[in-house]
Amino acid sequence: MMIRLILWSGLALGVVASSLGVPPGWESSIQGEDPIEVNIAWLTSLEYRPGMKLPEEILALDGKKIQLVGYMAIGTLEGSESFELVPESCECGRSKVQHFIDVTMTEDVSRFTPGRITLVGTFSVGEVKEDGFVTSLYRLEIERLP
Amino acid sequence: MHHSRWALGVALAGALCCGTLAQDEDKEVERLFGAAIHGRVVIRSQAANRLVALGALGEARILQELSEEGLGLAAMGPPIIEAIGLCQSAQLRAALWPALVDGDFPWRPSVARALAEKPRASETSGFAEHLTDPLAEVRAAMVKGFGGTQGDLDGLNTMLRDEDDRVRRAAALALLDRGQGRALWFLIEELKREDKFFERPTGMSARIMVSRALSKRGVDLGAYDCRLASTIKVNAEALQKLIQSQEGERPPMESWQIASGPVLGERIGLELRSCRAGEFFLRWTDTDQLLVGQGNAAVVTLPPGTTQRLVQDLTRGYDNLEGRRFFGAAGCDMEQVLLRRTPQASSETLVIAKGPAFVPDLRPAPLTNAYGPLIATLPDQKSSDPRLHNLRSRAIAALAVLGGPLP
Repeated sequence: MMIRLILWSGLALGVVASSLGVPPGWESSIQGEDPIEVNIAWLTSLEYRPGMKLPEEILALDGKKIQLVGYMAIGTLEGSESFELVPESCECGRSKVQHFIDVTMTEDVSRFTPGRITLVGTFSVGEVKEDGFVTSLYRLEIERLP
Repeated sequence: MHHSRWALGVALAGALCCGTLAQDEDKEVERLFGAAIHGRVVIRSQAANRLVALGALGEARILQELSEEGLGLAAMGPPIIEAIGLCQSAQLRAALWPALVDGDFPWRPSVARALAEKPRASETSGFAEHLTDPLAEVRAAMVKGFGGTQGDLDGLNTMLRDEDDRVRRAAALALLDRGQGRALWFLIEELKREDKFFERPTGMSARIMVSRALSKRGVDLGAYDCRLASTIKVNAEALQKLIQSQEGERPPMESWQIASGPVLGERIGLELRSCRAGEFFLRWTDTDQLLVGQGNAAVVTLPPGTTQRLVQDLTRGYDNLEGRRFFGAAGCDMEQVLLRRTPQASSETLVIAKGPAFVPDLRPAPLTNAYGPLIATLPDQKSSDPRLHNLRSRAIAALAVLGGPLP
């Protein structure tokens, strides 16, 4: 409960999801409770090294429905089922695994959209490895792009 | 006889085993080197760090590419360049400084970060020479290196007045690390920031960076939460306690060192980011003001009606692009345009991006045409405010290396 209160910083400021650009009907497209608003800059500015234990406050978001506002990474392929969500459109020098959210779409494919987008989906956190390298730390599963 | 055969067998087995081990090591070096250059972007820095963690073997592999027949430093890319900063090899480190001096080297911010990661005591003057570099990322790294090599406190204090918040933060943290508690006053201003660049919460990003950096240094921020507005009760109280813990009065500050809030009436934004020509953050407001910089921006008053005319020109430019809003390919060079067609509308973003190489005709003509009147509103005279000094000339030079020269 405490975590939810802290993370709902936008609501504490009187900012509701609808005013942040969540499309009408979006909230109802995902079952369950209202999304927890999470700040992408806070998530991605974590000082991380492979193998380290992540802060409890981040781990507690695993499996939760959250809302993130960010930018589709420049270089996103058209027609892909996934893309990277980043806190700023210019991510020069910030290409490490903690610097983005790996977004997958269950009912859509990517089309590059410059500008801020608001996404609501199920968050998962933890290292995913390929060939011994960590390829993903934060993931968000959404149905479709706004 | 039996014994000697046995000994020979052991020796052969040992040699084979050593040979296999050496082969395995070589294979691992090649795997990591290849992944650091050609692997998925997300694994490159991990591969580069693991390569240099192998020690002399990994370092020798990188050094091999610095020979005349090798790839060269630039072609190895930022992950390997930044990993060199972790190396022991003096030869590898010696390759970094000429790259920093070369204004055309494509990855100068990476070179600067590498040098600042583990600064050598003998390099203080090198760091000092680049404290006035045109790139803020380079200056921020140089400040870190300068502070880390016991550069003089006056030099660090001067950098507190830098126009860029990343540089100011680096200077304040370096001073704090040197026991200069007065520097906390400048970081408190960062913790109070509420500014935005259109919808982007630049103030909150600053608060997150600073609160993380201070917590890492053991500064007690109490219940301060960087994700919440600095004015809400819990944060205001925490900041008040921090202020009360400070000795003496707040030092005098330039306008851009002081926290500010969001700006109303932003209609056009132009964000230019070049790894060689620097960065510019320009906004034109409904009230005919030109805002220069992020945070507490410099304000230039324009003739009445200017913004309305500029919005009309840019709207026409947007409408002639047949719905396309992205030009180029992923890279560190970027022009980002933001347009609010009406005061209440959300901003429409258009991005032009590219890598270090020049791309002819990258910016579409309708946009280049709309830029002309925008850029004409920038002041071009000398100014004591570093953000405004020869602004138009500097912006024109940056545009030339980004989307292409203006007519």
